[in-house]
Amino acid sequence: MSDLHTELKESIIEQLNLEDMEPSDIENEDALFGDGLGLDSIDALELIVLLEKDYGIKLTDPNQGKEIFASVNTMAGFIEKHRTK
Amino acid sequence: MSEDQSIKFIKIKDNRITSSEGLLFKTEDKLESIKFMSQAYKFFGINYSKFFKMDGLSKAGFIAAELLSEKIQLEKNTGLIFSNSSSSQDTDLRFQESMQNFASPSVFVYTLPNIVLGEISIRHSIQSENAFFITEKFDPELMLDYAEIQLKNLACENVLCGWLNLHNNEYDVFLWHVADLEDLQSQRGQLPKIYATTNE
Repeated sequence: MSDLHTELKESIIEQLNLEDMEPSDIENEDALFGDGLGLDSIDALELIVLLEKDYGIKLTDPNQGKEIFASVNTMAGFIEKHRTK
Repeated sequence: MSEDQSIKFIKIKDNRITSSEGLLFKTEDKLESIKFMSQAYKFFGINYSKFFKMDGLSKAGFIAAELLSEKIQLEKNTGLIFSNSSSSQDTDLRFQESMQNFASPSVFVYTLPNIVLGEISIRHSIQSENAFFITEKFDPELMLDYAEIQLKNLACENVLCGWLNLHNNEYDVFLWHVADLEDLQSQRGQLPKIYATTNE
């Protein structure tokens, strides 16, 4: 697992208040929404803020979110390509 | 049994949770309000993952309603009539602080005091009348007057009333149940005394 994957899992747990969860509880391929971690629409907004705050990425097209936030893997891939910090 | 004892209530204040039947939970140390509510959540074995996303006011109201629901039936037609003096000020200030950098959506959604009524409604599948009043101090007559109107109009069949205040890490929660109009009339005049007793 890359440092970015671990960092992302830690940020998701902290930002979304996923109490009693450890990074090791989240698989890279786990669905973040729906049947996976069960995140909701407010969590999606928090993830958008997280991308901008931690990686300098501004999402201009909200439709991108579904693909980017599918899993930790997809998030990490997107961040590696587009990060400005 | 005295009339006082027939009123079913939950009180949360100063690291203690009591009910009409006595002490339910306490911590020896004075904890931050959020930490105290989380400890209580774990102590009572409540399982509701959204709890951890709530702000302090909603956590306090949620736990009180949860514990009271063990004694009385919260149902589709239960009205919710709450009040406090600090509105959602603690969360408002947290949101204002977050705006200095990145405004937090998850904090923003709790910047109204009546959000806790939605949280309780979702948890207990309540679809009835609700209201949240801001008053300077605990004013049971205001809540009972409003509850009476709702019961007479058949807007609800019973009512969960509550004083739910959280400010500067101090919390004072007093939730009680009104079973029907007859129960409501019997409660008039008793509540200030019971509330004062729970503060001793």
